[in-house]
Amino acid sequence: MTCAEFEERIALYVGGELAPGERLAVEEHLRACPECAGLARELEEDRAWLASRPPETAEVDYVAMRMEIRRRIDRPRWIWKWIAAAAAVLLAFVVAVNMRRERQLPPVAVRKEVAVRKEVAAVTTAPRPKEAAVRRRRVRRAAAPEQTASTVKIRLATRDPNVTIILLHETREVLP
Amino acid sequence: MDDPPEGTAPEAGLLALAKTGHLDAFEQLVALHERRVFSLALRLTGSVEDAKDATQEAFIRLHRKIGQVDSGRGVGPWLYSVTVNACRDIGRERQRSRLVPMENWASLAAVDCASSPEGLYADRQREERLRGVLHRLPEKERAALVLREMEGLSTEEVAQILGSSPVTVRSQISMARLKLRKLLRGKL
Repeated sequence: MTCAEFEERIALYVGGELAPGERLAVEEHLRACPECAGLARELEEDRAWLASRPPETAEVDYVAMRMEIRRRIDRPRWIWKWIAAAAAVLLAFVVAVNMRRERQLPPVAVRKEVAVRKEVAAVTTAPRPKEAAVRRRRVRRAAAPEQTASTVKIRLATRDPNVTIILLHETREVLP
Repeated sequence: MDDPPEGTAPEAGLLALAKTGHLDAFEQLVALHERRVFSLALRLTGSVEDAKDATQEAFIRLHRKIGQVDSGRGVGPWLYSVTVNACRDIGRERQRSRLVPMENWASLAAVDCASSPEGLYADRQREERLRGVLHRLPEKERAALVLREMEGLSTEEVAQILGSSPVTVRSQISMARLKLRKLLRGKL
């Protein structure tokens, strides 16, 4: 093994990082090679010098650094608090608007009747007497008040035999 | 502020409180370790400003993960790890070179540092030059060397902190020692 090949092992040898077998081989080489022995001495000096270095003592305002750390730790907490508050306000607004709209609308039964009347008006422009009577009967049947919550289905015939209008109205309210 | 539980070391008590979200206790932990963390960061980054940033970042990362810190081992190993990572991230982010010229190293090395004002001045100069020399080493070799030689950790501990195998770390330390020897003597 050449001196160049021993270099890396010598660098580990000075730090006590070699396995026993390798250590013996390096020690044997160092006894025989003054140049490598010099290298080992320099590496040991460097190690000792590095280990003796005191901690770096640059001018640092540690109090200010601590305050900055605390500020950065606190910041996310405030952000989440603001997000939570904004979400609560938005939710309250949406609920309030919905409640107001519900109060302003007529009762379901009235709404259904109005809707049916509109549909009848739309589809019965100049109807034939017999067809109109059938339609009115269907509409009346469909618009009859219901006793429980249910789906109301209104089937309306139009002048065109290929076109039938089906109205579906689902309600969860229990009607009187 | 709640006092640390009786019968425990101050750091263990502070760590226990900090884990419950006690910010004052965490701040005291910072005060206990800030100088050591800053010193390590300065040796790894070679710049006071970067070292300040890395120190702050290391403690903020520690705060985020404080629940995972092993109370038996303390915050030391965690701090080494997060400091090395913070320095690496800052170094990559900034991509700046801070090389210090080496031409006067030999003359400074010959001065007796402790015996005279000139010696003290020279000592400071040597520290600055040491930073420069360290910064000329590849990032991983520099971190391995600083942790092993200047922080006095074992090869296995260094490997754990750097997330490498002991074999890799031994190779990095060996290369770093050889390069440092040449840099200190102006041969590189």
